[in-house]
Amino acid sequence: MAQDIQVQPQTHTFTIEVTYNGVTEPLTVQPHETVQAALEQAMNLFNIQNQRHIMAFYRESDGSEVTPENISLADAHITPGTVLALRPSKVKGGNG
Amino acid sequence: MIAVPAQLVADTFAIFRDCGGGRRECVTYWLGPADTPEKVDEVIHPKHTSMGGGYQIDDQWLTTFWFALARRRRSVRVQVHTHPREAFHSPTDDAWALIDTPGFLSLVIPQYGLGPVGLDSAYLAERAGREWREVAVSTHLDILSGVY
Repeated sequence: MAQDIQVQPQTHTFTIEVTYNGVTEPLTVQPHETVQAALEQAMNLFNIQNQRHIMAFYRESDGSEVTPENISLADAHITPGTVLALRPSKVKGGNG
Repeated sequence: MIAVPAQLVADTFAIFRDCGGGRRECVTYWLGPADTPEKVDEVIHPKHTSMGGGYQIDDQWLTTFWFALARRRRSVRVQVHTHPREAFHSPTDDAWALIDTPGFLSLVIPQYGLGPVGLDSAYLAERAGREWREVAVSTHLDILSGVY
């Protein structure tokens, strides 16, 4: 008698490190998830509740922003062990 | 309550006067150990552009600074900047602060920092919930005598 076998797609995860204001935390991600999804995870991790739309990831190697945010982490060349800075895309202030 | 050495306040005013020259805004960050939120012991003068009524942090400098904080296990506890005249938290200050997590403090110094060294005329804002709210300097910053 034939038996139904359900094959679950294997879920690959890996860990990157995200640093925010001097604190570095590991973040478990999947290669196919978008940069934006990882950003959301990271902001939740660091309890960033406001101005989330101005936050972005930056690479240490060349200081570049990880963009666009709708591509996958794999396409953005984010690999296991990558360390990313989570910071506002712009910081300014003043009376003007 | 964050403990702030009085000398650090004096050094901050010196930076504002030297950089701003009474004509441009300036900004500094007060840092402390990442695992000791109630202490600051270092003032950093970021690379920035400035004008009479505003400043902006250099983008590349900010990324380098961010990774340096991680390596040194240091955190920014207070953002400090000047205004030309009165001290308050402007819409630009609200929207583009360095840190946007609850409890972060932003201190505004009037008259480009040319007034008396001290925080009597300063405006202190705290990130609370979805807004910045004014809080008393005396209940949030403990100015300690002596050097650091």
